[in-house]
Amino acid sequence: MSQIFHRSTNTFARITIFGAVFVLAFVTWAFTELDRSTYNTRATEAREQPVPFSHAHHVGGIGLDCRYCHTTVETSSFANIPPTKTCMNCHSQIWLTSPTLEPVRASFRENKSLDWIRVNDLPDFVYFNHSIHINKGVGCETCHGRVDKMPLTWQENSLQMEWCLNCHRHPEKFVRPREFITTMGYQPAGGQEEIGQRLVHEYNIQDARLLTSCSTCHR
Amino acid sequence: MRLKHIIFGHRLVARALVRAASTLVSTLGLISHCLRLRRSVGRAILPAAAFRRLGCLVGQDAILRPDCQSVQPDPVRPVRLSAAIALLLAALTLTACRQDMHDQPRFIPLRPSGFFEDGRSERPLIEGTVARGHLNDDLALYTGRGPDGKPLDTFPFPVTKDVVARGQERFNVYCSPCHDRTGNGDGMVVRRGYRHPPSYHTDQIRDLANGYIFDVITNGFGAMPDYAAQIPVRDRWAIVAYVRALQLSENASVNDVPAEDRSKLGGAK
Ligand code: HEC
Ligand code: HEC
Ligand code: HEC
Ligand code: HEC
Ligand code: HEC
Ligand code: HEC
Repeated sequence: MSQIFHRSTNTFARITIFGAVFVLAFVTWAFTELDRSTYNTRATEAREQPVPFSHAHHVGGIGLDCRYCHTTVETSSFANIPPTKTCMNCHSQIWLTSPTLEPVRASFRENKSLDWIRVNDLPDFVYFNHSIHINKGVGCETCHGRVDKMPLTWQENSLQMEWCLNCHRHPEKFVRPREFITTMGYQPAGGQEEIGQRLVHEYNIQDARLLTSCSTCHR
Repeated sequence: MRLKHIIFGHRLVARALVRAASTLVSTLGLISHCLRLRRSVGRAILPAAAFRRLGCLVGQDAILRPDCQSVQPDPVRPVRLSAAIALLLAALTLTACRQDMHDQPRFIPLRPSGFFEDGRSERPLIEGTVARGHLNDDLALYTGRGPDGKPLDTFPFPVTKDVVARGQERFNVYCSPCHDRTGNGDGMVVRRGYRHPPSYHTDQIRDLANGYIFDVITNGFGAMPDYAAQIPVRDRWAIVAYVRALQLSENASVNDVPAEDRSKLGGAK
């Protein structure tokens, strides 16, 4: 039987074997990037809601505080979505005839919940708690972005473990005084590093070793 | 010589090719398995309803997974090529698209339930339920009324600086949209057409009893909605204290300023 492959295929094979390392590295890299991509995390993708509720109108425009609606955020693990009654506090008198608000009025009339579509959603094997973050000076803006500029709500950050840890390792880069918890567009009065260090001390924020231990979030 | 013979005639080459292919596929499959792609893939390829039904068919019965009936599917995304390829890879390694650990069959706040008729997994308390230690029998604290049924003009607990500061914060959150931060009644919502509330700085409102203002917050008054669901009882009293402080501040005279501080006023009368 004659020679099937030309001699040059030897070199070719060597290059391929060598190149495979790079190909594999590239594939791994590509997948981690894909994993972080907003396509996968669905961050910055505004969701359609049963009522086109706009934080831009209500927070940016009228200047409502987050806690007017999300009342449990300081005391509980989760931030409640306001009941229809809260909407009716105002909408029983203003924009009464607006057809966009008909589902809200119907919900109030018939005592049926509005079915809002979830935007931020951690897997169920992760424990998250709003109140500890709020009480230790992590502002809504740090995690949820400029909500006051969202006509429809979207998720601002990836909510991946990497993202949580990034802050749990260095909370001083993010914390702010408690009175600015719900402030949008907060600017630290001075150097963040300095203020952060002081607040970490003042609020007794735990050690990074504790905050990054697996059982803090997977319990 | 035909191509078939070139490739499969040479055992070594054939074996290497097969091994390489299978390694590649399983590596990709494994990685795609680890990625959260599965969820979005399932969502992208199947119509949302079918995806849910699939989860329910394969999964537990409907009582264990009430969300089978009531989860609000996200809007279906268009099929995308990358999603299709990823699904193919996932299918090759027989990985499922179920995300049981991500969406565990248990109730957490805000999760809908197909078990109850109203779809709420958070159940309202049955009327008359009293939690241990919450028999709200302190009339003054919970109703703002004395034993004779008249609004009290005292406070049920001592008013300290902290209480007033708390009241200020809460007032600015819950009351200022209408009454504005000074209590004049020019809040943003009023400017958008809500009925104008009376200014706090009239004798009529100044003469209202503390317990009456507490009652207005708890039960509403005329065009003003009630805030019982949004503001806990102690915070309501703190707000009353702050309303009093606001009224004092708008109706103060030089005589209210301690003598040693009067020079700082710059001669204002
Ligand atoms: C007038 C009431 C109201 C106010 C004030 C308000 N929200 Fe909301 N918020 C809602 C409603 C209703 C929803 C559910 C609809 C949606 O997702 O857009 C919501 C949803 C959200 C969500 C997404 C929830 C999810 O599904 O993951 C976030 C995050 C949020 N709000 C943050 C804020 C922040 C931060 C502020 C203050 C800057 C704020 N909200 C002020 C009513 C309000
Ligand atoms: C504090 C008063 C207040 C509350 C509470 C409130 N709104 Fe509004 N809402 C307004 C005002 C004022 C406007 C008009 C916006 C503007 O002029 O910028 C408005 C506008 C809207 C619009 C736009 C109407 C249209 O036809 O375009 C929608 C939709 C809406 N609100 C939904 C809601 C929902 C849902 C809730 C409950 C979660 C809610 N609002 C709670 C005051 C309120
Ligand atoms: C440390 C980051 C962080 C901060 C600070 C934060 N949130 Fe969240 N928020 C999250 C995460 C993560 C979720 C998703 C929780 C889940 O899926 O269980 C979430 C979910 C929500 C939701 C949806 C309901 C829920 O609890 O699952 C609302 C509403 C909300 N946040 C409002 C707020 C408001 C208002 C503030 C400020 C007072 C705030 N958040 C501060 C991270 C944060
Ligand atoms: C911007 C900063 C920041 C981000 C982002 C953040 N955290 Fe935190 N987290 C904190 C701080 C500060 C504390 C308070 C630590 C303490 O108790 O002193 C905390 C505390 C916690 C605690 C309570 C720890 C305890 O011992 O009780 C949990 C649980 C937690 N975080 C989970 C999460 C999860 C899950 C995420 C991501 C989805 C997240 N956090 C994102 C800053 C952050
Ligand atoms: C600050 C909170 C936090 C800490 C601490 C933490 N995790 Fe996580 N972990 C998360 C979050 C949030 C996710 C969800 C990520 C996502 O949705 O992509 C996650 C996901 C995971 C997953 C992926 C599961 C899957 O199928 O996607 C594994 C595995 C994991 N964590 C292991 C660990 C281990 C091991 C440790 C300790 C070294 C740890 N985690 C510490 C927050 C945390
Ligand atoms: C949605 C707008 C709105 C909000 C928010 C609001 N009020 Fe009012 N308030 C009104 C209106 C309108 C009136 C006038 C009612 C009438 O005369 O029918 C009023 C009247 C009052 C009165 C006078 C009652 C009387 O007998 O004349 C008091 C006291 C009062 N409000 C206190 C509060 C306090 C305290 C808060 C915060 C917890 C608050 N209000 C929040 C709209 C509001």
